[in-house]
Amino acid sequence: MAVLCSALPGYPENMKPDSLPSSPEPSASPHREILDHAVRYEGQGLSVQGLETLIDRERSRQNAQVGQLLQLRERNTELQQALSHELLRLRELTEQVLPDKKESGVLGALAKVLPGRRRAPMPRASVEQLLREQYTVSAHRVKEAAEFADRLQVSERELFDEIDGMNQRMIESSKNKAKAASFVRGLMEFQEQAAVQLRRLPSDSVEALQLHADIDRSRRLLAEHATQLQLFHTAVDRLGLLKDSTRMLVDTVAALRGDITQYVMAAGEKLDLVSRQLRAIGTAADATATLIEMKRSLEALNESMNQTTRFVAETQRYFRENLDQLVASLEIYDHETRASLEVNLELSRVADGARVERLVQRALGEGDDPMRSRQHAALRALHAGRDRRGDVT
Amino acid sequence: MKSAVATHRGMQVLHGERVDAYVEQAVALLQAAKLSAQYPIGSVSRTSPQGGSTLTGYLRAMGSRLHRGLYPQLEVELLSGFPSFKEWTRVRTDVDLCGRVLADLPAPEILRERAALDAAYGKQLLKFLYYSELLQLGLPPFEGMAIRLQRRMGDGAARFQLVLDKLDAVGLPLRCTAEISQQRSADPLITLRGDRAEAKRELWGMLYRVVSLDAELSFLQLQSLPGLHVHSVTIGTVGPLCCGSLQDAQPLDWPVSLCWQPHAAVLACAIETVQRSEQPELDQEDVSDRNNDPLSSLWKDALSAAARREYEQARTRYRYRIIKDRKFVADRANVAALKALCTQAGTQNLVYVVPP
Repeated sequence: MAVLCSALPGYPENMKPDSLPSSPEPSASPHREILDHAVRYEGQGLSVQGLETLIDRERSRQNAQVGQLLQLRERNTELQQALSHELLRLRELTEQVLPDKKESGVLGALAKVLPGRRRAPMPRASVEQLLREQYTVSAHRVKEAAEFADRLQVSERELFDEIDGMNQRMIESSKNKAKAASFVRGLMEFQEQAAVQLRRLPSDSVEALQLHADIDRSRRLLAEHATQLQLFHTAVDRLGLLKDSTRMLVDTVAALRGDITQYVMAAGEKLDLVSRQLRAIGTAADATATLIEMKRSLEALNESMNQTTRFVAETQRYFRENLDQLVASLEIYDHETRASLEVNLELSRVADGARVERLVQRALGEGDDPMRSRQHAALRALHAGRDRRGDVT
Repeated sequence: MKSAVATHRGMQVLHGERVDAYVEQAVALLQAAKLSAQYPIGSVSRTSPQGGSTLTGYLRAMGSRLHRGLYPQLEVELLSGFPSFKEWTRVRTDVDLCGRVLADLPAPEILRERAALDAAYGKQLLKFLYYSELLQLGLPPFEGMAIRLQRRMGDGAARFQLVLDKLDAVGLPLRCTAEISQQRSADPLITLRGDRAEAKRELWGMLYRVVSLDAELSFLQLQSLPGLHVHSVTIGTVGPLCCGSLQDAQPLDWPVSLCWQPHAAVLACAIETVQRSEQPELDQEDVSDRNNDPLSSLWKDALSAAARREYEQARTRYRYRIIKDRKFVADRANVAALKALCTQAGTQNLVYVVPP
């Protein structure tokens, strides 16, 4: 048995099934005990539909996370438009602050209403009011970004949970794959030996008829477990790729979260400064002090806006370089997975000997898989894009 | 470990239980104050399970019973005894965002199930609880303006009521209610679309600016605008507020005899009205001023002789009177000190006792 198992590609020593009957000697009569051996797979058994559901569920979760990122991109575009408008407004505010003259005071008020005095010009908007409004808009924006950072943090945790789950499923599928492979090999050996034995027996003997019956039973078992083998193989393969793209998504989410948190902290500090200056404007005793504080507020608000503008532009660039590529790679994955699952479905429908043999070879062989290669290429390209982004954040 | 209270430049930063003690005292004072529509109470929320006004709603949202510790501290202005502009804005921003945040959160049973697994999941549950309750409070913006047509007077003239809510220079919530008429004009400050009135931004800007002065100066400033005739200006100010949970509160003109034990709590609410006498036949007594505010005098008393002459001319021309009043809410221990203050100033003021 040890010889047989070690001959299987990708079959680690510690995963050898220990409950299979020992392998028959090449010249000895076939050991039919294998036909009565019940193979128990770990976890829940896998069907084509089950595998499809599992992968669909994982992909839906990925899509939800990507959806959040796309939403952020949309919001970013809106922000870009709003920011240019607000920057203009700030410039107008600056112009209003500079020639500002204090109008308050008893004599100032009386001068306007006494007979013969010049009527006051049309009133201007209150700079303090505009500053407070702009502060509220900026605070809203920073809070929105902080909320988004929190959502990304949760996404990160969820994706790590997904990776944990996928690792468990992969380990399980890999063990099951080894069990199925060992059993399938055993059945194939049995069929070879039974065929040799059959040639030696008279065709109408009871032994020959018994052997025919055993061979038919082994074919049935082979079809059943070859399907399982193929499914476990597909599961390991697809989950592996799914895990790679999930990890990529985690990296994307973590990088964005880092950027947003940095922005929230920097812009929050500026807003704190503005709120103190707004307070000083309110309590300032004379016009000069008010003017100075207003100018300071405007400068701090401008800086806060510039930080937002920089952040929005950098995030847009990041999205351009990464998100579309990530979405494209996930689409390739969907396409390849569908093709792979169709092969499994076909196998579960028709199982002649030659087809089983071909599929078993494919499941066990770790040779070139064009689908896998294409997806790896897509993920590699995405990694390269991320590396280039190093200077952005 | 952080101290529960930190003070810097006219501001006190409260942490932990201090925040809740302060919020509780402030809410109790405001509820006992029986504020009328002349104060910035906002609309009473119909959906709020606890009822209450905009002011108490905002204050509740600043306490950890509502936000569940999502915010570690609370900044309070020492001059007004109210939270700083930043804190009010924080609640307003949360109100604006709460619908969207709640829509993005998973179902409550999922949140509860996984809250203990990771701090990020735990925070999501806290946010769900906080934002759900905040949504229930239905808080409007704490600063805002509204204009209402009162009646049309023929010849294109119309009478309006303008209401402005804001935090004043030291952070006291105030409401200014101005009743004005506008004559037909080529470039009106107020336009009418059907019965819907709309004031120009500049008019609001001026009101916003002058309202921090006082009702009389606001009246005079508004009266100076072309095409406007001011009937009355009323400013209702809530505060200053002082309570034992604030260690270094320093409201202006506050009687020194008040005792500041941890349970102490005092709130003052002032109303100042400037009303034009529309009937020329009224004698001088009918337009004489009435000051029932022990903490504030009429500024005409402090004018120089020259300024006083100009001032008297304005009074004669516009025939208006000034009415000032103030009421108090206090814990039982401070009622006597407040009554003594009123007696000393020769005023008769309402002093409500806050329930223990």
